[in-house]
Amino acid sequence: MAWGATAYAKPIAPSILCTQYADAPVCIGGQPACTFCHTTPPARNAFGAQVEGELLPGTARPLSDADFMTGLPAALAAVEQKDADGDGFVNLDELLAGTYPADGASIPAADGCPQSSDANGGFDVCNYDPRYVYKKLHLDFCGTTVAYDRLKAFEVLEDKEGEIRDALARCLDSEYWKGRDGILYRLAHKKIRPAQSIKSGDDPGDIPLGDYDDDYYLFVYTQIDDHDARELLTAQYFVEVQDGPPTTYSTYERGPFQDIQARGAQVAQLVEVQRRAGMLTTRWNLVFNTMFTPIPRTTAAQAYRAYLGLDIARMEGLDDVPGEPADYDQKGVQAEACRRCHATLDPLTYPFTRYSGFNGGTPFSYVPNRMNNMSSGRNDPLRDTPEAGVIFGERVDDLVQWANVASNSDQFAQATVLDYWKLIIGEAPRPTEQGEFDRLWRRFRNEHEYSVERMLHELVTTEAYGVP
Amino acid sequence: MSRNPLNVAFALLFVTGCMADNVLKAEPPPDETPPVTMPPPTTNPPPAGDVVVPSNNARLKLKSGQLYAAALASGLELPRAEVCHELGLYDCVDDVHNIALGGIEPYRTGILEPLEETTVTTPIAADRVALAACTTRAERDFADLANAKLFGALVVKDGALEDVSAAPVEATIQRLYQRLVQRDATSDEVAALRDLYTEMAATPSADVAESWAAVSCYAVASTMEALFY
Repeated sequence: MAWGATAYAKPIAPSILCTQYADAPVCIGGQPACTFCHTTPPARNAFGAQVEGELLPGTARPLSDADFMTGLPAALAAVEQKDADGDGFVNLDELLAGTYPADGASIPAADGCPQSSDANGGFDVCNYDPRYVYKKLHLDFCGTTVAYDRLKAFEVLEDKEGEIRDALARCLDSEYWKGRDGILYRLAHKKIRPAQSIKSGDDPGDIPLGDYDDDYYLFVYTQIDDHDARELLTAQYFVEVQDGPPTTYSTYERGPFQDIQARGAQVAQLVEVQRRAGMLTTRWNLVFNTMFTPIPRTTAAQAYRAYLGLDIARMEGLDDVPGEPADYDQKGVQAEACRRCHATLDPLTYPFTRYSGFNGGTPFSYVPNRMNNMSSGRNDPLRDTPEAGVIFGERVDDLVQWANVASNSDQFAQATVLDYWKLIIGEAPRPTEQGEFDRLWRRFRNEHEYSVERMLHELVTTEAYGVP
Repeated sequence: MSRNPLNVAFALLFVTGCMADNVLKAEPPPDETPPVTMPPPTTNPPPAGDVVVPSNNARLKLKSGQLYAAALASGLELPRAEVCHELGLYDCVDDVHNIALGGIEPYRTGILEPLEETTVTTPIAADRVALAACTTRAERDFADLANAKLFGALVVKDGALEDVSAAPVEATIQRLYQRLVQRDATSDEVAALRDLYTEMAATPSADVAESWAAVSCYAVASTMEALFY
């Protein structure tokens, strides 16, 4: 978070706010996002601007962390009775009600429930509404509308819960959900970032370099049939598809030479089996993200964003590593304006450096001496780039370990569940829903054993999904 | 049997005007029927002693073009591929209005997610899809009423409804609501579509019943209730 005229991050701000307002829904199970006080950091929203106005007025900007920590509680207290968004509710009431003090459309809930759902067009706006869920579930997961007669039959069912469970199970096997270009493909697009012009394999582009179909198949496989979603980052197998209906996915394990023999050099996966780390080491990922880069920061940043929900460009997930950034490739990342992010990003990237894009050794493969191959001579510091790196403060020897740490992290579970939450519910959890969201991702790790389908069966029972 | 395009255009103006203001505001030409005040398209009032309570969890999603077209196809018993084509060639949802209707095109243009906001053309495209589907259904049904999928209950004589107050008309309106929004029509909604017919029939037309069927279908299919969930 940033408060001064110059953009300086203050990631301590959410924790200070939550220390002061521990009972605020936005602080239950997490901390508020930057957007609680900012539009696009460092620009402030209406609430952030009010707080800034009360924050150690007269003190020179930028504030030190110490000054900021000292001044923020009083500044927050000073704006409690103000109404930043002019919606008629003071900031403190909005904080405690779980609404946004900078959003005029977000206001504390009205009290009371209707005597019957008839008054509300048949919607039970105060409770989980099975009829509403049944109808919505078919659209979200099956892509179909429940016919009037079937809806009527549902209304008189004794075991509505059971029918909802069965309907969801049917939908999760539908082509709309898991077929080619189905909903799961849509979820994968931002992670894979396909570009048909350089696609190889089926429907090749003008310059066929790699086939992202393998990435989609692997993604879908890890999300269905109670498979372990962590294998998205740890799989050392690949997946083939039998187009349907029903479309089916099955795994296979082949080394680079076997794969060249089986499928041809233009699509074969060339990283040796024990060096594979799911989506992180696919040919497409190396083609598209690593390309010609010795220290492929783009590849690491994309992995951090796509699978762990942390966008370094938005100053998310920063975790300084002492002594970093070392700047082995002499890009000037030790400059003051750069080091804040690169102290996290560079050590995050080192484990990716041994996987080649187009150069430094056999393309799209694991090359232990890639840094030597890419250096300009004995004195080039690039040669000293380590393979070991750091993720979430934990030292890892290589990318396989990196993937293990990543896939077992809270961040992976949160990001996975958040993807589906946003897809199905339509937006990120509201402050009042943080508790439900928090419980869901924790159960995804434990009770659901990283099964996306089990998690989804619980997601449709939440109030966020089921109360109209 | 083909419908008179001017009649459809008039009916559309009527319907959209009703939706906007509930009242036709334009001054009528001297010899025409004066404007009819329409009841607001609301549901029946809640039982005495009960009040509508706003949802604290209010959250609606706009159906994607894919979902909307599928809903129209199943509701109107049309093959999905025949719901709407521009120039008779290009699928309205998959090809022409894909992005405007919340679609994506990840492989060639890099549009990986639906646009966060709807575009200026989104309502026009949604209208286009609904009108095309409804027109097709009405044309096919009126070409062979005995085997009609949706409008077969109507009693039609010389292109007009024999009696707009007759039970088959209400039954047809109920079917429209059941097929397109999966609930029964309220008495207000039935009355509104009956009044629409009366207004349309005041202008001489050889196929007013078919035109009314198409725009009644369109009126229901383009409600907020049908477009959002």
